[in-house]
Amino acid sequence: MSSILETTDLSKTYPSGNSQLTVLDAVNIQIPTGSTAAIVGPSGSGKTTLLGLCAGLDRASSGRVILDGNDITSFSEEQRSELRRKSIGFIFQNFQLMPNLTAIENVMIPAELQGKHGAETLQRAKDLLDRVGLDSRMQHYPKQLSGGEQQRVAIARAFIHQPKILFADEPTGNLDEESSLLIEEMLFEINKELGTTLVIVTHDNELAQKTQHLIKLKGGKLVSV
Amino acid sequence: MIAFLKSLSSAWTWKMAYRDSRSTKWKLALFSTSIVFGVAALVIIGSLKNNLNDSVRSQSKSLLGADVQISARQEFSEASQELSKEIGGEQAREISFTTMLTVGENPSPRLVSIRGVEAGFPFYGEVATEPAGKWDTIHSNNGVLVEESFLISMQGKIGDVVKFGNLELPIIGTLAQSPPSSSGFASMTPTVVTSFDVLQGSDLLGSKSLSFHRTYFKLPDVSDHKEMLEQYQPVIDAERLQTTTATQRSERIESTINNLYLFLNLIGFSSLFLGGIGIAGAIHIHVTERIPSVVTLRCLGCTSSNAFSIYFIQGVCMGILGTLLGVAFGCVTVLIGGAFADSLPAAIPFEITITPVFYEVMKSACIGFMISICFALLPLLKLRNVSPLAALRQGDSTDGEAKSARDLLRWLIIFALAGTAFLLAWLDNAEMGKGALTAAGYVGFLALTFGLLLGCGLLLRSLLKFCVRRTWPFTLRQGVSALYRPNNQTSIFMLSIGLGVFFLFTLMLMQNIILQGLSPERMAGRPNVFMVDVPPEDSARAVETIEKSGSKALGAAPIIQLRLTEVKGIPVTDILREQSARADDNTADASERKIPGWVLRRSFRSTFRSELADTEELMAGEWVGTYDSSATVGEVIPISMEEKIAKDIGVEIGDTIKMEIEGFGEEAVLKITSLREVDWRSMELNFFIVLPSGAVDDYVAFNILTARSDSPEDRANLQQAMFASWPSVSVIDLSLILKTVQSVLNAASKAIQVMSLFTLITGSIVLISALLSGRKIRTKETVLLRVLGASQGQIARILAVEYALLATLATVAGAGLATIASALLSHHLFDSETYVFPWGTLLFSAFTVIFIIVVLGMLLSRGISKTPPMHALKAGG
Repeated sequence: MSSILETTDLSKTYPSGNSQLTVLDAVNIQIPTGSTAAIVGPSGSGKTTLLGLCAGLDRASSGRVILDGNDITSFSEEQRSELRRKSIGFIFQNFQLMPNLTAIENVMIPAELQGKHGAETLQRAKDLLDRVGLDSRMQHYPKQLSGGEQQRVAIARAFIHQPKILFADEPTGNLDEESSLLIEEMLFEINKELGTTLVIVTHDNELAQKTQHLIKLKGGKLVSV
Repeated sequence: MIAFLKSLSSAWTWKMAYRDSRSTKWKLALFSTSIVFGVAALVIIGSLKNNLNDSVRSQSKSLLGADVQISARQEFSEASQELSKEIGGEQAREISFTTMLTVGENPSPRLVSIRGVEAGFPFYGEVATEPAGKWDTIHSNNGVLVEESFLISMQGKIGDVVKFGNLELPIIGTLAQSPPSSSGFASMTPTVVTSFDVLQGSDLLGSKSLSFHRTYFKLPDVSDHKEMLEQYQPVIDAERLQTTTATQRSERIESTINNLYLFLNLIGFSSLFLGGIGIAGAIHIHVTERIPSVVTLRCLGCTSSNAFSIYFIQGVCMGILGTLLGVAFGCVTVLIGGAFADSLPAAIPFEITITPVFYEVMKSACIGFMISICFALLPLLKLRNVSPLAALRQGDSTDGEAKSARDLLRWLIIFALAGTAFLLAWLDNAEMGKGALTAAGYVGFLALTFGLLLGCGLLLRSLLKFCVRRTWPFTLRQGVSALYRPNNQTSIFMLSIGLGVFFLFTLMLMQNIILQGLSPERMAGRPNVFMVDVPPEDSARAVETIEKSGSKALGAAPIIQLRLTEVKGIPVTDILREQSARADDNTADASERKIPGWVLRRSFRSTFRSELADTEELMAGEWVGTYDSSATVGEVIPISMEEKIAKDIGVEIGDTIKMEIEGFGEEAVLKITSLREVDWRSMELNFFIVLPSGAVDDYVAFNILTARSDSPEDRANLQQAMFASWPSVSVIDLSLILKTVQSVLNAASKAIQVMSLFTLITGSIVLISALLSGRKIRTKETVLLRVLGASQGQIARILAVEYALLATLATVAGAGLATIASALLSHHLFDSETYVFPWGTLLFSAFTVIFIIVVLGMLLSRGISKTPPMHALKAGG
């Protein structure tokens, strides 16, 4: 099976006084297309840094990231924006919904960013909200929704443009147990339905065990894959 | 740039801008009103200036009533009359002077300016009277026309008889409009008009020390009147005549209008800039609140140009809304003003049509829009640096804050702002050289005032922080620390309150400086009634009359009328000719000193005495009080000269001048032996030239007596007694002059007050915007305090302390700058050493401002102290 995401000697350092602080040290991973993977490790192990670099949110200090056949380490900020727009979906621990947009408007943003404003997009957004059980809350603003509902809107938003890969940063970190289970189910179901590669950063061992690939980090180094 | 323009052309960007603004549309609309009053001020001032100048230009001939006017301060000489004949055309003569006059049965006389004009004048335009058409009948009926307000104040009516000198004339109507003249907008005394022949035939002329003689010319065949007059310049100089053309007259009025415009426009500009800063502050808070949304958009693949464009569009819409509202408000105000144009005072010597001027409206709209956009851009720039990584890491949203000082685009926008202000002020001025200077003055003033207010604010805040002690009550310490709260917009508060206070206090202090010099307290014991033209032989009898009428005679000054004929051996006519030639010669050295024409032509009313007066100080040389009476005129007489006029003439101690003693046909050689500084504001008898006693005692033209009357009744008795015995003596009541000065000042300051009010309203809007913007942060802080156990009362006290401190610091900064500015102006412009600042009024006004701001702040913070902690925490605080 071909890999959708591959890193080679990926490192990230930050200047710290006169020296350099290495937060990610020569990490090599490969994630096959359509699979699920979890990045785990203790706090400060470099999980979020690895996610940020793989998703093109940050620039590596050295090494390479090949995403969907593109070496994104050489990409400009605008090229990375385009890649995120077309191929990547995101789910965040703190939902990151736009407070001034209704649920359906939030869901439509990724498609609209690609210039898809038509009725087809609207219908797809409605279908996705229906799929996550929020068909009756489409015109509600984020502040009118519970945490679990907000995360379901975020899931609908993440899938509207049918990304090739979905990055989820602690998707259940801010939710209660019941909501967490619901979100997990949805993530894996949609992943199966649409064949989207799923990369999750989590502290939750149970969630991590449900994925096909486990990437363990410690002190910025890859411990096991 | 291309990416930015591409983003702007995307429909999605506009849709997102709309969606994002939905929940805050009213707040954004309120922020946009920050520039409304600034734009409106520019529309009003610009339109009024254009309306006035258009009226003056279109009625330039009507303003003078003729093409050319020649005037003299004495009866026209034969040479002058010859000159009039040579100039030709249609002519009309005028005589004018001030005199005491009674109306009807009212026994109290008033000082008026009486004008006697020949039939035919004015050659251009008409003088509106009530009843209509009475202007021409003054010649046939030998009646007078008076100002309506004067008639009312004298409790007279049309048909009553006015008495002055040996004349008794009926009032045949009132003047609905000032007749054309070459002087300014208004006179200190009411105008009364009659026919030339009436005055010419009266006995008043001979007894008047100062009368004006004018001849008006209608010269339709001459295209350039100024050029025509140049050929007669030698005669004009030799006869000390003054000339005025219709163009010069309108240019003088236009110049006055333009000077007032420049000053008012500066206040309008300040108001607009303050509004711009308000917009910048509001957008800063708005954008800061929106950064999480931008982070999300960036994660979802939105480019930085796209994200920037969304909020840029909101800024543009705010600018458009504010500009449109400002233009609408300005136009409506001008139109309402236009509806009342007919009721403008009769002192304005031309008809005005007040209507919004398209060019000014468009210009003001462009200025308002550009300034709002430039100010909006400054806080928006940080959006370019929003990192999508912030979605993963809280508190790492922008990496651009530290770089802002090195951000080239940021500096470009700041320069664009300064450049916009400079260019607009420059292009506004017809003279490019003068315009550049004015523009630099505008930018400099704005930068200096804003910089000083911000600097004062920072200094006072640092001082306050330094003074805070741990022993102080918690609420006080917390209130002080609130001034340093992130995004608190303390600087915006300082500017909005400080600028309004600065303008209002400066205006208040300047008026006070002028009026204080004339106040009754300052005048206590000093003369407040002057009697001019007392015949020298009647002085003693006049003093008796003063004492009998209940007033106290304070002094008498014999007046010798002198006119310069030679300066350091060079005849004045040669100096005038040489200066006139130099003015025509473009290659001449412009820096070469020129003696002002009015100094060379004027009649110096001088006196002789042996002592220095209380209002004088010897600055150089030796005071010579007496002169050997056996010496004859023609020999060198030592004189004392006021130092500034000596500088104007270009003479120093030891130099000699020759002066004609008017009315006697003799000349005296005078040597400057001392220079004096004179306190002209003292309103006492002050003179440019003082001769020693004994030198020219036989050449007295008339006497001026001074008296002190402590009650209005005494003053009325004195005026009546003097009028009964010497009808030609002008009795000048200083309290009436003071009232006139006050009313002139009040009228002049009205426009400034309105503009200052606009600044204050703008400041209030900016203040309200800042308070509303900061409400979220205040709520969050309050909630935390509530969680920690603070009572509602404590929260309210903390808020009150914060607002009181903000208001106090800003008011102290604004009032402090106003005090410094007024002290400097008082010292340098008004030459006043003894000015007493009205500390009581200042403190009262300052406390009022602080009180209003605290009340406003508390009203806008209603509910904050009652916010349930859980509710706010759930909302993400």
